[in-house]
Amino acid sequence: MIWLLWMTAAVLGVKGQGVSVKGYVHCAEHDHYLPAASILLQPGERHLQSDENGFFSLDELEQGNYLLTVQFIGYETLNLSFSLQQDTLLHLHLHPSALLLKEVTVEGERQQEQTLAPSLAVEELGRLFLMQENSESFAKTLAALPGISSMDIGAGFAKPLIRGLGFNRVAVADRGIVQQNQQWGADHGLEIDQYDVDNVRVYKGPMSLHYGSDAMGGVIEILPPRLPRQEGVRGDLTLTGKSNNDLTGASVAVSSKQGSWYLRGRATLQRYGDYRVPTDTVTYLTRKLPLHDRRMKNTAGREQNLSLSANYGGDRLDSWLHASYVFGKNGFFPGAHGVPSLDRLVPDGSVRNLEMPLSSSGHLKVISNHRIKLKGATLLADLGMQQNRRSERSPFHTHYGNQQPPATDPDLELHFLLNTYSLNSSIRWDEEKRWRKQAGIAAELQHNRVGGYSFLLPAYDRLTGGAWWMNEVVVSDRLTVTGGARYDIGALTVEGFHDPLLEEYLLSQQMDAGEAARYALRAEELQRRFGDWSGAMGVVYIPSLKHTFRMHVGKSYRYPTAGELAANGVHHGAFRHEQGNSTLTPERGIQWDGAYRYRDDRWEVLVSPFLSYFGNYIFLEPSGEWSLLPHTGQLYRYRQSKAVTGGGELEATFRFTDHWQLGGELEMVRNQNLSDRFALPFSPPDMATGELIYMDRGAGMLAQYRLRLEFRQIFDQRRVAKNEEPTPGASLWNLSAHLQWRFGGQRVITDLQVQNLFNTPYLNHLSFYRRLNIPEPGRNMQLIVRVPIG
Amino acid sequence: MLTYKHKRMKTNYRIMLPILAAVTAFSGCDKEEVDRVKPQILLMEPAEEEAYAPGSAIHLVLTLSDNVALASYKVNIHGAFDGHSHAAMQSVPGGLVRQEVVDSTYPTRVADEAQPFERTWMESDFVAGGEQPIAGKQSVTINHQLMRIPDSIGGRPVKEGDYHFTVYCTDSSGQESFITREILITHDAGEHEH
Repeated sequence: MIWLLWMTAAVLGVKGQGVSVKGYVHCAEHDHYLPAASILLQPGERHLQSDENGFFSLDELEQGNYLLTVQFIGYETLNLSFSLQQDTLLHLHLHPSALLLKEVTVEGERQQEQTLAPSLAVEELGRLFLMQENSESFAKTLAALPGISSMDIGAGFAKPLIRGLGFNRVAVADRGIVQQNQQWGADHGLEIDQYDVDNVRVYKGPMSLHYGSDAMGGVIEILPPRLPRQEGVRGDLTLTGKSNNDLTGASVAVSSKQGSWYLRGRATLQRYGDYRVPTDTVTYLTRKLPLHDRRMKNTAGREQNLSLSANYGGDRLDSWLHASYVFGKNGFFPGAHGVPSLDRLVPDGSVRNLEMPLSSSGHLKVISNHRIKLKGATLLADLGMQQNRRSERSPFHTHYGNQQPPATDPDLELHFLLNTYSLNSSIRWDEEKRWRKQAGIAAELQHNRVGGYSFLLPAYDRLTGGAWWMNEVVVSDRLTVTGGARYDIGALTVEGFHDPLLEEYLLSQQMDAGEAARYALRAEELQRRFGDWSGAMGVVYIPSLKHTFRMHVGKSYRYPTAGELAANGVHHGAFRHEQGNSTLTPERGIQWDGAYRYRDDRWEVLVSPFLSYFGNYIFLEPSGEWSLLPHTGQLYRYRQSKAVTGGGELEATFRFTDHWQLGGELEMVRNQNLSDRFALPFSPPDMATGELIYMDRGAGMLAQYRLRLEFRQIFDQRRVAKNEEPTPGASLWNLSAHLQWRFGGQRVITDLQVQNLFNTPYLNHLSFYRRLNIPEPGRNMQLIVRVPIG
Repeated sequence: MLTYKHKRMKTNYRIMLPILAAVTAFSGCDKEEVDRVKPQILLMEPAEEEAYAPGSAIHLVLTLSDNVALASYKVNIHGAFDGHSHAAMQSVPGGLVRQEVVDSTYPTRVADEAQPFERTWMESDFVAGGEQPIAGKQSVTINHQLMRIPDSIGGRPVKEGDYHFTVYCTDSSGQESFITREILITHDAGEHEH
């Protein structure tokens, strides 16, 4: 292990009262600093963490012999004994662990750049994890974490759920700006280029204090790339191939660092065909539909993404400018869209073509982050602009016999045009003191317009703003207490929409005039104002390097959305008549989260329970009244109820030798709507995962490798909401091999995965296609090759 | 996978207790009386691919039942055309197969003018026709011919072809079931005698 360690020491000739040890912790491989590395100096049990620049300082030491231990997850632990005689500056270079763990740097032991860290359990993932666990979509990749699940829309799109909370209850924040897209509809995915994500932090728990409305379930934070320390031009080429849907993809990045400037550009292209499922038929509307060649017809798609980042890092000013455009186009299974017909499921001769019905979405984002160092304080500002352009196309069809196709663009079924402008600004002061403070303001403006011959979400404008105050008190080296409060206000204007064609149709069906008018009011014009507070308190107690305790209590809230308040009509994805409720009030929760982590040379155990109470949880309730609209059953109406959710995750890893490692995870969510005693909709099933890992150094060109066999048991989900179908469980096996090669001086990283090894048909309780009984994708072999250049 | 915890990690019990307590509390709730059983629909008539002529009445025979109490039912009929060729479905073990049928088998009369038929009959329509409401009952067998396919719609002939025939039923706790059949509307069907 010693040869892994590479250390330089410089002796400073400064005399003081006691002597000091200062130092920087670096990554030996990538040459960046390691913030929040755990540092323990013995004797004396002095424990601290490196700061965001990897720096640490221990003062007032007596001369003598010491043992310094530096730990950082994913790296070999460094033990350094030295004789201290005078002030010393150390450069400690940690090597990435030969035991390529999941590279999960768990817990908020790492200083957060933007805000004071909440004392919530947080999982931090790097590129290694994201490539090793790479799945069909970014959200599905994250679902490998305990407590996170994905709602899949075929093989291309997915949205994340954190402990059973999803849609508007989970925020995805890219570089400090809350991303708009996945929350707007059942078939909207998370439009993020998986290859453009270097570091992700996942907070499981209420984050309203930091992000305002919509972050009650948790936040997925995408962080800017880490800056290299050395100047020069670098590149990265990633090639991907997947067998299940014949996906081919390439992503290229080029970056350059010169002086204080850093520039990076990335382009990603992916194309995929119809995905394969291990079944021949599916049941839809109680009828069996054939799946020819065991493929989901017309689920092919493509993705084209571009991003550009620039950084200026001066002594006082640090600024990022990031622009990205993510474009995706994918088809919908025609059996799930509109009236199903067997003719539409007959193969069309190609598994790669894209026919209607299909959706295409473009997401343009410009984000600018600034950090200005003042005397004794730091000023932070994030500005964001986002544009969503999403359309669904389907050959003009009609739910009511009398509708004529529009004169222009007759196949445009739904159009979603959303512009979002965001601003977050804060000031942090007394950063070196025991009581650190941060105060900030946030504002967001949304302007939404809709189009197409169908109608789903009403046009709306929304303006929200808030102010917050956050404290962190370092009581001792071992105990930190955090707390804060926030108040937000918001105004929402929903544009009304009256559908004269529907009214005419209903009148032709002998409906009385008043009722027809009510049904034809597809969106009620309304103006609402909201205001609500959020708050959080937490403690982090680290009695020693081995144990970490966390506890967090938060009060969170969420504004009702325009759809929940005002929309009225058939949701074509769900074939339900869904009706908004203009009397809804903000959803409020009191959420408790705890976490205990034990870590030693061989063991790592994390227990994280949670319990939440919602005073007015918004959900769609079957009303028991028939909808008079065609192709629907009863009317589903938004309403509010008291609800509780609870559960937790248990993770354990045991390294029984330097090469073998055994891991296990358990995750569980229980919830209940207290008014009808049913479960809440979209509750993830219990899950147990076990994995066996072997890792070693290779020979010849194979530098090192890591092999993993994973078993995942998904338990039956019988705790369902009213009219939700229970979903049987499944046992799945996955294999993966992570191989690092060296061809001369060139490093090549390959990740090979076999997902669903035995081609087991299983259903994801949360998937968009679940109610059609369409199983998840069958066996998939995938290979990702990464070539870092320079 | 968890057994090692007991040996190594005694301190964990303090943490585990709240979880266990929470889990027990929730599983306790599950045992309370919540009606999770959906109503059951047994549709005898019309049969799959049964043909009806415009102007005839659909013979509906079905049994609705629920473990607690039924609430209501409705029936919807709407076109299942896909525009191109007509295909008939045949039930075989394991599903349905398409049976190619030459288009001219079903000559469309004044095709351009044919109007698709679509209608929802609410339970109240049947009650107005003399049926008993089903609310509160545990099992009801319905046998009537109250649903008539019109000869023409607004002076235009009814479009011939496949139609979806769907029966929806709810129970007293708001659970819903439905069943869909494909029926054929064609002038070749002749008179229906049962």
